[in-house]
Amino acid sequence: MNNHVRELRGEQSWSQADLAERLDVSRQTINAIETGKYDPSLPLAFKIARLFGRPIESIFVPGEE
Amino acid sequence: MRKTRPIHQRYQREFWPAMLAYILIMFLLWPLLPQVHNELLKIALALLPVLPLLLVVRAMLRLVLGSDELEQRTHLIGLAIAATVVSTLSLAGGFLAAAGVIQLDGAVLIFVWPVLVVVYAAGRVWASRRYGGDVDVMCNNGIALHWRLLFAALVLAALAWFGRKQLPDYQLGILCGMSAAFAAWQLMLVIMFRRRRRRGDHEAS
Repeated sequence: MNNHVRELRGEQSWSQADLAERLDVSRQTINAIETGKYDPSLPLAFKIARLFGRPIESIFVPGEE
Repeated sequence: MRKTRPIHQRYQREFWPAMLAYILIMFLLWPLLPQVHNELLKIALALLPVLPLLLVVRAMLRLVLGSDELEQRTHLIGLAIAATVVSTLSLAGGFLAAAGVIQLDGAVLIFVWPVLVVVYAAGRVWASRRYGGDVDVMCNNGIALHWRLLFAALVLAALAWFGRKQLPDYQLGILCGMSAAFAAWQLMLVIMFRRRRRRGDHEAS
């Protein structure tokens, strides 16, 4: 799965630590999501979508099968 | 200095006093065991180190429960690796002892918990690195890992120094060995850090 978390975070001028604090997760988790090493659970994905005020499908897109 | 998350602050507050109590019991009260002849008192004194360890287990449990989903996954991988390694070692040791190849003292059970914790930490580091994390996964308290290692090395060395007349040789050996190991680990991290920084400066210039 691909995502636009890094771009959206950049638009807000937030650091990974800032975003991690807002989502109540570790900075490592944000880094793993942004680099595509970890796909978040649905509740965390919805939390991210709510924070950026966007639909979930505009942030997370299915990768090549 | 990195910002510390509240769950890590709570873990530090709960873990270190319990660990300190464990160390003090092991090095100050436990050596008195041979002088105790009352059976009930002997059992109580023998089991005394378990009490602070239960508090350590509680601190670790609260840390895991308060962790985010990726951290919980790395905890699970670390625990799975630790359980597999320790149970396999126990099984192998049990077979060798049953076959009469080696003589195993019951006191070897004391090492099960520390080995489990060390392998669990190593497993977590490995799992964390797979997700792009760093090696400092166990107790982020905002202080760099090499400073914490140096502190641990100095505390252990001080314990060995002050207890050099009372402690038996094997306990002194354990303390000195652990202190040297922490100091060597600290030194290795500092060298790696400096080399990385020098490489960064070189690339930037």
